[in-house]
Amino acid sequence: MKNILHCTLLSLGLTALFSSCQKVIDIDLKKAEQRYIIDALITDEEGYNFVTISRSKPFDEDNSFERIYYATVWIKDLQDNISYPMTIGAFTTRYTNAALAARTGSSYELYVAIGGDTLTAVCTVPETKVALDSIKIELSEFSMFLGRDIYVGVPVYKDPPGRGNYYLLKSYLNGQNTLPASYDSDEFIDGQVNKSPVFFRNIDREDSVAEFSNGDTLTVELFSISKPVYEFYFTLGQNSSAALSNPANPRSNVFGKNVIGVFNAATVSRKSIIADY
Amino acid sequence: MKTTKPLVYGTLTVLCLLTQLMSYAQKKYTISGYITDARKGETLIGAEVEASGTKSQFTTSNEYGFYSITIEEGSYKLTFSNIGYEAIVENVQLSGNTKLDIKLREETDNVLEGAGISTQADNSNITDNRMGVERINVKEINKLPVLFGERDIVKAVTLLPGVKSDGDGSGSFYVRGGAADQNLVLLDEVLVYNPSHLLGFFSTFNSDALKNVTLYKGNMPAQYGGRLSSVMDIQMKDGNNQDYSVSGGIGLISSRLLVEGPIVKDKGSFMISGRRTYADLFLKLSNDTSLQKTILNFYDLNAKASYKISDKHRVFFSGYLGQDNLGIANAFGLDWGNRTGSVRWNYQVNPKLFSNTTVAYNDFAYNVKVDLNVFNSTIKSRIRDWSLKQEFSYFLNANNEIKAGFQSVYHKVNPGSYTGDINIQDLPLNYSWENAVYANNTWKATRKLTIDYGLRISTFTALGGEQPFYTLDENRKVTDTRYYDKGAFVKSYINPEPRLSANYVINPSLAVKAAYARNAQYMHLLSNSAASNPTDKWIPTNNIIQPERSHQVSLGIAKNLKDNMFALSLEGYYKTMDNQIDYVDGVNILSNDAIETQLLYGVARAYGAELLVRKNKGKLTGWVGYTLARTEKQIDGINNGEWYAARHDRTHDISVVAIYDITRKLTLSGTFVYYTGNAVTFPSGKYTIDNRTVFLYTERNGYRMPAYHRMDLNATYQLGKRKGRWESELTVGMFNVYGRENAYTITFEDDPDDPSRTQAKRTALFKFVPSISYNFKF
Repeated sequence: MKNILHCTLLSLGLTALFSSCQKVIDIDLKKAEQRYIIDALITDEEGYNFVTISRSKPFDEDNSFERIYYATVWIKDLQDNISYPMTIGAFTTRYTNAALAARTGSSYELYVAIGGDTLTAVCTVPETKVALDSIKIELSEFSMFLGRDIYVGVPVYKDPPGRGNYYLLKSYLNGQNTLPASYDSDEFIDGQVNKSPVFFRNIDREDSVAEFSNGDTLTVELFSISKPVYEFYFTLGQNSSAALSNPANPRSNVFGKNVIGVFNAATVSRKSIIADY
Repeated sequence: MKTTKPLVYGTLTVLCLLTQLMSYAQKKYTISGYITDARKGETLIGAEVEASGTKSQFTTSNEYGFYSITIEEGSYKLTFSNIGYEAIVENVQLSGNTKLDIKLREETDNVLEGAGISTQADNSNITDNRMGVERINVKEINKLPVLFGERDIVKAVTLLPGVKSDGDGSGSFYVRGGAADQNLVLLDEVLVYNPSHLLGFFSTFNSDALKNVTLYKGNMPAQYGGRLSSVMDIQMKDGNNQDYSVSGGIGLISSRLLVEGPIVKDKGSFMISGRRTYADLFLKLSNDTSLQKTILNFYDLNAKASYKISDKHRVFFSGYLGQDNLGIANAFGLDWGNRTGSVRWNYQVNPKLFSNTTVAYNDFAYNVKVDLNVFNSTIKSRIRDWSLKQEFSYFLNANNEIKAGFQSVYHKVNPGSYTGDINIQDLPLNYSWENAVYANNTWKATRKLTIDYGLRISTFTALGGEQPFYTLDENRKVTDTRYYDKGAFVKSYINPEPRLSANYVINPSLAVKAAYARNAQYMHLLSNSAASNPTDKWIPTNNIIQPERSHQVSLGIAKNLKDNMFALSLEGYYKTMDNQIDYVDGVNILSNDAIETQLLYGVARAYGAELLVRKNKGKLTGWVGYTLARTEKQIDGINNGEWYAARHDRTHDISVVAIYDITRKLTLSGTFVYYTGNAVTFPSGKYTIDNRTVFLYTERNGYRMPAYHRMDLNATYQLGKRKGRWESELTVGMFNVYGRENAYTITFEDDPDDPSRTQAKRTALFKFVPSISYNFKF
């Protein structure tokens, strides 16, 4: 919530005021050594898990990123010492295992071997699973600044009393997840019902602004995540903020040579509604 | 070791002082008094007094206009002079202590503040025993072109070598590689925490209300302390004690009014000056909905009163109030302001001993408000200081002028209290106590050599109370949290700060200078934003956060040409700083958890050469300044602990200032600046994760912004007098006359027209900004 406030104040209040003068320019940027990019998720829902491996590239090239399909990947349950091989199926582009289900409070290890490089991560599923109660559709209060009506979905869930709960929210419009995930900590909402909205984006629309129509199916997944995973998403969110003087890479919880990534062992709770406003 | 050091320094200082005391034997008397402006009664600071007779002596008036000169009995010709004033010569037969108050008349006594051209020039830059000091002429500054026509002392200061601005839309300044929070900004001896308005677009100080501004670039005398890099000592006008007068101005974005006059003629005066901007009125004309609803304004108020109780006692009351409001409709709001107040008491104990006691209070507060249906909250944050300063100036003899005193400051920081939907407790208040004792002697060792030496011993104590004190492990995780009784001394630091400045006059137009200073700083500003932001955090030193310290050595040469028409100076400096603080990468500045867990520490070094050529006489006056400099940091945990360029590392910095008096009524002025772009962090690659393109960074500050350059022009026309005392002038100006698009930010993003590409986008703020203002006085 406070992020939104801060960004809005700075961006609307200042940049918009003087942004009459924006121009796309050429900058000679260095070409950094390629990094492995890991995005890994395991949940308490059996079979809902994936690992994707891609690579970084120079800034001035296009946005098609190389995916790696030839790695050896497994996830190990550190409580009962069972390893689950993660494989790419016939119709998927992600490494998965249909039998893997994470348990609350348990720790898991991710192992990735690509050629001679080894990447590893350990993550613990939070003890408490917070359930998503429902999704409420509301007229965003930002509408008045944008000069047109914007509708948002507010996921209703109650934060358990006591600090230390972290959340990740993914939104799906008609089954498609096209926006970056939202993240939140309970620092400012400890023990309260969430009021912060999530956005939906219809990629078929021209204006590419977060919006949906009546009859669309809206789905939200609420993940209870661990603190290192929250820190990854928080620092990822700051990655390209113009208001910051010191942008930096996100804080990874995957380790190894030349790697940036997150291994998220979480619980998931899901709700869907048909938009009607 | 730490505790014996101050003792050693202290003993040395006392010994030196004693040696001076021994050396006087002959019958000597003191001439003392105040030097004031004949028409307004304002005391004149830094006015020169020269006694020539059997022996020649020289002194200047202090910050209260008081001078004292002690010489052998005999007959003397005393010359009193000040730039912009007609000199007065008095013949004195000295056979006892003499009190002599002097009223100097302005050379061009009939023009507005904005004009008043100095036709004389002196060699005070040669004889000045301090180095790295800029005595800023407020009248000269007022003639310079500025953004939106808002005269701005801070912007003007950044045109001097060694002082850097942060580009368009920043009120911060950086001195010799120091950070923005390392400048001690004093308004009538009260510290001002956030000297900028509207997120830095304008300075806090309304230059109408200012009398005198002095900037010390790191080699400050011992009476100043608490900041590493510089002191900007600003005195407000006392107010006219002869007659009432009103002056003001109407500009594009603000209007100003100043009223001054006698409380009791010759004895007391007052001055009230106010300024209010109305920038947001123009936003209402915009067809952008969000701009129409933007609230963007500030006001400030300066007030001062002085009263001469008797020949020996004077009191001064100064107050400042500044408030900024920024918001979007009623939904979001950010407002902040500084409030300062001081009471000062001058007591002339005897003709040789002058005492000043200052009691001061300052208060910097900001509020962040969100008022939406889903969320409603106000966060208030505040920092307050109560301080007491006692200073004695002892005009011992013709060759020694001693300043000694102490200062005590009680800090109370409220990092945040919450109301509304946020369900968390208010952040604990933080208390601390800062003290210093100091002594400084200006010693005219020989006719040619002046040595200014002093010692300041500063202490800082983190006090117990609500505030928790943490213990961290090597991974910066909290392992222990302790609380102490209110007022308990939890952690104390002591720092001896020797200061030395020497000047050797080779001949009346050539001098060499050298200086050394050690400084300590106990309050630190944490900022992670590109623009200066009122919500940047001030944090006091505690058990984990150490005092910042610096050493600076400098060497210089001053040369005047053509009967002081041209003044040249070349100075070089080398500075080191330790206990420098930085945020970890990806810091969450909004989190209220222990800030100590998000900080990194290291050292910094800065060195450079500053060249200044001034033309002080004639129809064309002004200066050219050039700085060649380097500023680097080394912080554990950033760039693998290697040295890297600080954000404000500027290789080259050039400024040209010209003021041309075409006729008595018409003045043209222009400024040109060029400097190397800031060191910044740009991506060196990209990748995708979480449905977005993300940028890959390899090192901190590994890139440069494009070089910045800009020219501004200004014309001031005296509209002549109407009946009575009415005077007025019209000023028109143009900021960025050739429309250079200087990069304010460069951002990286997906190309909105072609999502398969990324692009770099430059935002420039101001080009071709015209201004017009009308100033009047009666």
